[in-house]
Amino acid sequence: MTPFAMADELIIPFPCYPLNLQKLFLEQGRKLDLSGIDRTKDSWGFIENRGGEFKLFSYYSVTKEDFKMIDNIIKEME
Amino acid sequence: MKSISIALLVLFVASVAFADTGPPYAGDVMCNQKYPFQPHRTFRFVRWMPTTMFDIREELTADSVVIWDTNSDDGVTVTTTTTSKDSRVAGVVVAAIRTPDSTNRTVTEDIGKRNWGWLQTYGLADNVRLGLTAVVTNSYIGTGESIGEAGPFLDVRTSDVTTRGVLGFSLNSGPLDGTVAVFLKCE
Repeated sequence: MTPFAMADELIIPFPCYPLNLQKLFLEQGRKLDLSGIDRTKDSWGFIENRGGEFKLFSYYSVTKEDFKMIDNIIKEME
Repeated sequence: MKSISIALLVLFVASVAFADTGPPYAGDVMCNQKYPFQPHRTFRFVRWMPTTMFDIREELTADSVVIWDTNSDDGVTVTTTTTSKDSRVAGVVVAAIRTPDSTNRTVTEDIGKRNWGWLQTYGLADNVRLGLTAVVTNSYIGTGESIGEAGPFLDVRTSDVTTRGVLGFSLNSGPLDGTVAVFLKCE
């Protein structure tokens, strides 16, 4: 169990490079931390790399715009 | 004596201040097997594969109920069902998912294609599509008899293991062909 306050958990079933993902999020104006303990005032959430899949934990409720943004990022990754 | 009293007072205050370091906190909503510090909603990025060629002409509409696809057998692909209370129930689609441009690819070949979308598997879903049966508040919900629609999960005594899938429970009542708020418990 991860001892951080979180709103939503997003599970994506393929691998990624966290630093690349962090960069792509930043290009969309959202700060993605590499761990929950890196959280700052302007953070959107953090990534948990689980090898074959990765999880995004948002600090706030994910909106439709967030989903659309992540869709575009995933398309860019592949 | 005075110093002992002060020390006891400090210990008392400190224990009150620091004892409650773990959840649940007063006022927090502690729901099914989840503590407040755990995610309140869970979403999975899934691939949609229609069951028939008829389905392939139309996109999967938002708020549809879907099941895990046992033909693809990958734990990532979802499809629709007309079996009520289907044991394979997976969750509710967040936004419409477009049709696949090919049905002959594997999941890894399909990554990045248009037939991917978000599936909510845990937590509150506001507008789950209902079929031809209305549901009342606080009742178990499963898949309905029409594609993408939910229905009441009534017959829990059935011996048919293929019809034991609970999607969640209703938080309000829903009219037939309407929508209902469901707390999803597929995770």
